[in-house]
Amino acid sequence: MTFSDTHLKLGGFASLSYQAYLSEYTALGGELAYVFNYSNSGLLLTTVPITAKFTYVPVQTGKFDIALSLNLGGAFIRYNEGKYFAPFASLTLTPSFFFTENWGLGVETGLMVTSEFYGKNSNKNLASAFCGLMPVTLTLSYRH
Amino acid sequence: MKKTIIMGLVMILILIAAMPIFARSTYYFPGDSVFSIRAGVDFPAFISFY
Repeated sequence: MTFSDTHLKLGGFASLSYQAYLSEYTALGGELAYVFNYSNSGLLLTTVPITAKFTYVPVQTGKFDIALSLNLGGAFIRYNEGKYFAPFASLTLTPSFFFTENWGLGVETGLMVTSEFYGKNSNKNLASAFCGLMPVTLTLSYRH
Repeated sequence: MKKTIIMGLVMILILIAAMPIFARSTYYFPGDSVFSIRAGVDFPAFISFY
């Protein structure tokens, strides 16, 4: 399976998240994102995931953090005239450098997976599918 | 080749997750909070139909 098999072009990703620390190493919160990709035929695929976000921060020096995050939730997907609410999961890794006590900048990347399920009794004649997207983002964080 | 890349990534994740065993410094306290804004590009990785 190669990049071109998806019939999608390079897209964009933006999100807002808020998390509170449950312990020294773990944080729990939520994330709202907007993802878009154009298909090779020029149609727009948009994905709006609303997820719970669990983060584990094994490396934290005060200046430098490495965080592993798991997002679980659902995503509103729209492609051409079709709409679907799909289960959504993502696993990301974020090294961050805090240039002040409160403000940090990091690079976040990982894998996001969505799926569409159509059973035998579905009135739509469509195949079920899994879609994997890999965001590479700059992450600006404010902590307090 | 694909298996080697996946195994390598899994090893890196395990090493990062195990880091507190070697360096037990902590910065955060329960109740601290973080607000984040992310923006960037999105690579389509795979689509599989079944």
